Amino acid sequence: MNRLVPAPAIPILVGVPLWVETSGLVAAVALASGAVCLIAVLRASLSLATVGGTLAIFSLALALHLSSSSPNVLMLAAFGSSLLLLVEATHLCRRLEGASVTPSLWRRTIAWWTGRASISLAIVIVITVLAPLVALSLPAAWAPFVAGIGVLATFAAAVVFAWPEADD
Amino acid sequence: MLPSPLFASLAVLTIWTVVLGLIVGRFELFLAAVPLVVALLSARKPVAASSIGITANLSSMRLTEGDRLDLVVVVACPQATSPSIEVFLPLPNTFEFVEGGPHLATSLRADETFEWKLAVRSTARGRFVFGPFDVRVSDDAGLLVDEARVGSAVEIETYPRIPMIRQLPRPWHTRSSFGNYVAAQFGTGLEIAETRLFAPGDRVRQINWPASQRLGRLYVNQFQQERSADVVLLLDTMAETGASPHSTLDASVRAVTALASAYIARKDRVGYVEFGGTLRWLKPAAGRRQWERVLRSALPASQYFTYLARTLDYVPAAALPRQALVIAVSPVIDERFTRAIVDLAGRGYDVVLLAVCPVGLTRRVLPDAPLSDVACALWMLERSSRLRQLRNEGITVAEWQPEQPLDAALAALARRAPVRRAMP
Repeated sequence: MNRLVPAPAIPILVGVPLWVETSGLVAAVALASGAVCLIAVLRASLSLATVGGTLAIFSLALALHLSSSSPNVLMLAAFGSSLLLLVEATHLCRRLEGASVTPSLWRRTIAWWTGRASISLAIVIVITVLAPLVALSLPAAWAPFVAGIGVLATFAAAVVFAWPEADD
Repeated sequence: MLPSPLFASLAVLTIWTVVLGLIVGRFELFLAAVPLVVALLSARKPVAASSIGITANLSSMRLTEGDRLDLVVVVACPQATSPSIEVFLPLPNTFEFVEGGPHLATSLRADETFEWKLAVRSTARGRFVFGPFDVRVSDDAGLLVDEARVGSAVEIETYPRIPMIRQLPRPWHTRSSFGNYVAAQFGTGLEIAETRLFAPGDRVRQINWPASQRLGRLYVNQFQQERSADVVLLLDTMAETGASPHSTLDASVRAVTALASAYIARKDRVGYVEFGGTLRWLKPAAGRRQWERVLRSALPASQYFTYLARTLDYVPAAALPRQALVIAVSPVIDERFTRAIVDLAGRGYDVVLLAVCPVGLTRRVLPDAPLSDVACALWMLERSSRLRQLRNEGITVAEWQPEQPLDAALAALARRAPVRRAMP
């Protein structure tokens, strides 16, 4: 498998923080993350990809902290998907290095990535649309309760996810 | 079932995104975490790796060095759909791939099968085991994996490539059973020794009718006896240099099997003794079955280091008959082996040493440096001196460079003179 498959994620991981806020500090952290990600891709190293991804998150957080404007939602979804592509594809490259990969596995993997990215994008859009509506319709004092409902929903999702495992 | 390293990596990135979002107080970072959370939540338990069925069909179970082996590995998924199945073929390092590789990654639906076609080449002699296969099954996301060893092991034998030999050392002592050595004595055979006058008791079938008609009296033919011999092949496994499949032991095994094949074709009885860390022997016998026995015994021969002072005293007399021609095949490295054959020659055995030259084979694996050349040249000198010493001790020595034909080394022994030893 070609090791450069996760490489297209790197320009997005470096570019999005710089798009949000163009400053020397953000550029330094973003370029450092890009360099680490590139080494990770060339060496097919998952641990280096995780370090590079973490640096990219740091650069985005820094950019958001320094910037007063709100970035495009699609750009953030693309950033998250690129992070996912970087670590997953690096892991896959390492796993399948030198292997005879059948077309059925490629088809299934591509379909899986595409489907999951679409679902993620849909969720991001739903959150972006629903969040201001909820904020407008409810008084500010209710915010902790809404957050609590969110935590409970997350907990319930985790339980549902783990339930089939408990059966075994 | 275990989480893969990817699971930890995604979890770390998700935690960092959420924590940094809380620290900087920007909800946008949570949106960036959505694909990571979706990926983590999409993890599903894969089917058990032990449920994957693997059957290996081999084109042959017996090979000769350099032969190609075609493999068809059938991977079956009897239960649910397996998004990702990886199969690893644990191939011995003496095999090299001609087509395909040792690692397959595929995806199978329930009750679907996949035929994985491979071709490998066996480069060295030995007995090897193919399988069981290492199987790894993971879910679509690759977050949860299950691993198992699946399938049964198949044993494959790779025989050494046997060079053709025409010239063989002739034994001094022969046996009365029928063979290819024409003796001075009269007896049953094909070679006419002399023609004499008919005497009462002579068989009618021995009458030489043309001579009788010409001379007017009955004459009979007398034939020379045709006898066979016992040959014991003594393989030195005390020391080995070079790298497989071009080590001294590999060359020695090729020589032993070639000699066994040639002597058995001459109707001689052939025995085999492996002298090394382990002492193994086969009693002399004739026939194709014995040749196969020798071949199978020599096949797994390997150097096994020991500090024990081995002697041939443990070998029973039936496996090392007094009248046998003993052909010792050795790189002449370990003194214990040379002491054993000198002792054998001293006890009256007809001993021939086929000295496999280890210098060239060792030079191949040494770095290309002047120091290596000097070391090899010194080794050659020391070795020549040692072989001269063995000749003086009454042993017939033939030196064989494994790069050269074995026949050329043995040609010098085909007409060897009897060794005269001083009586004690």
